[in-house]
Amino acid sequence: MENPIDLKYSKDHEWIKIEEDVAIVGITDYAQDKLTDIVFVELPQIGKYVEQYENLCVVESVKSVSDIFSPISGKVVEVNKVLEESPELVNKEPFGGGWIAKLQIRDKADLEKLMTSEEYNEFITGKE
Amino acid sequence: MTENKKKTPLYNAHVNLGARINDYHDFLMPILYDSIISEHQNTRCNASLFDISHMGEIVVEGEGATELIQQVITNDVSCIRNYQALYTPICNVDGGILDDIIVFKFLPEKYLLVVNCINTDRDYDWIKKFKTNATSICNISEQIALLAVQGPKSEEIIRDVYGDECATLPRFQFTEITHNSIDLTISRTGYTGEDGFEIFVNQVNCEKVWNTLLEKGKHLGLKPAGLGARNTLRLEAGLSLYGNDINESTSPFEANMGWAVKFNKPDFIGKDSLSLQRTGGIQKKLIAFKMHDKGIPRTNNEITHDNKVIGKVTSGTFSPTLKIGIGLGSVLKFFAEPNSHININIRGKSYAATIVHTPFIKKDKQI
Repeated sequence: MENPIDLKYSKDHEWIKIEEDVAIVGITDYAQDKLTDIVFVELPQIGKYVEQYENLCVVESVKSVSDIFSPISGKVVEVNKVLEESPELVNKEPFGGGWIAKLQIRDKADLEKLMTSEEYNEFITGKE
Repeated sequence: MTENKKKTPLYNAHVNLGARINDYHDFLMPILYDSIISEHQNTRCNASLFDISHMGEIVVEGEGATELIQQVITNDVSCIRNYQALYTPICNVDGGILDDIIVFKFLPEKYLLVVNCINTDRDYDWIKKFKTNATSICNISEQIALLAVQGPKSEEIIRDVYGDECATLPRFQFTEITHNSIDLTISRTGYTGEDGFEIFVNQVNCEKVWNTLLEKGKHLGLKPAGLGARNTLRLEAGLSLYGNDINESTSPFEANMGWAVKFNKPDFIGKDSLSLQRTGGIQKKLIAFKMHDKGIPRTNNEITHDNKVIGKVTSGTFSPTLKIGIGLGSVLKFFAEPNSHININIRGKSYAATIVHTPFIKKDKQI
C-alpha cells in the first residue's frame, strides 16, 4: 500500500492529515502489517490533552499490546467509534476508515518535525 | 543476533513461505505465515500443519525403563498398553511441577518422552539422576523433528498420505510406519483442542515429509500455521502452557491435574507432598475465565474480587472463535468457583469477567 502524499508521518509509524485546525491521526500500513490482526483499540478519551510523541492510545493484536504515540501536541476532539466494533479496519484501511482520533492542533510548528511520504518511504525501506 | 539461536530443519522452508520468525525460548520459530486469526480459523475448520520440532524428545530404554518412568512421573504407565501415550506431570519432591510431558510407551523396556522445549535439558538431567545401570537415557531432540497435523480434516489427510492404519488410530495411540523409505512414528495427539496427529521423523527427512503433507493436504485446506495460532488454539481448549500457567511452584492439584496423580502405584517423586496436599487442600487454583466485554487479558494482569487482589493472569489472549478476551489465571482457591464474577485489571482499568469451565470451545471430536 502506498503512503499517501498528503499525509505527514512520524518515526513511530503514525500519520496525520491536516484539516484546518484539526489533525486526523492513524497508524501507517507498515505499522498495521507489523502488528498483524488488530483485535482491540483502546480509544483515547475525548478532551484528553497529549504532547507530541506521547502516548495517545493502545492497540492490541492477538499477540501483543502496542502504544500509539501522538504525532503532534493537541486535544482529542473526536475518536473513531467504529473501531470499537471493527478494530480490523485499522488493518484493512489504515489510511482511511481505520483512522483513530482527531486532535485540535496546538502548534503547527510540530508538523515540521514530521516526515513527508517520500521521507517516510525511505525511513521504512531502511528498516527492512 | 541469530548465531546462538537454534533452528528447526524447516527454518528455511518457513522463511520461504514468508513466515514471521520470532525467538521462542532460543528457537527461531514461525509465529505466523499469514495471520494468527486466519491460521487459527483454518485449524478449526480444515486443518493446519505445525512445525513443533522445538519440543524435546528423550528416550528411556532398558530393563529398568518402566521402573524409572514410574518413579519420575505422577501418572501410571502400567495403565497403558504398548503403543499408547500418556499425559503426565513430572514433579519435584515438594510436588511442584518440573514439566508436563507425554510418555509414549513402545515396550515396557522402551519409552519416548516428549517434553517442553524450555525443560529439555533440565528434564534429561533430572531423570538421569534416578537411573540405574539397567537403564539408558538419551536426549534425541537434535535428531528428531516433530510435525503436527491438527483440525477436523486431519484424519482424511493422514488417510490420503499414510493410509488407514494411521488414520484409524484411536486417541493417544501411535504406530510406526515406513513411507517412501522414511521411518515415521505417528500418534493421534495434539495441543489444539482439535482432532489431530503428530508425526515424528528424523530431522534429515523432515522437509520431505512437510512438503508431502502440504502438497497432498492442499485440496482439503491444509496450510501451515505458526506458534501464534498454536497458542490461541490451546488457550481456547483450556490447555496449560508450562512456564506460563504452570511451573515449579504449581502442584498438579492446583493446576487441575489431580487426575494425573496416581497414588496406587509404587513410590514416586513428590508422592508424600502430594498426599498431604490431597488431604490438607491447596491454597491456589488455576482457573479459566472469559471477559464480558472488550479488553484483552495478558500475563501478569491482576485478578480482583470486590477490589481485592485474588491472583493473576497466567495466559491471556483474544479468542478468535469467541471474539472476546479469554485467559487462564491462578487465584486463591476460595474464589475459584466456576460462574463466579471476577475482574481483570488491564492498564489500570477494571474489566469484568466470569470464571468458566474448560474447554472454552466444545467440539464433537476433541483431543
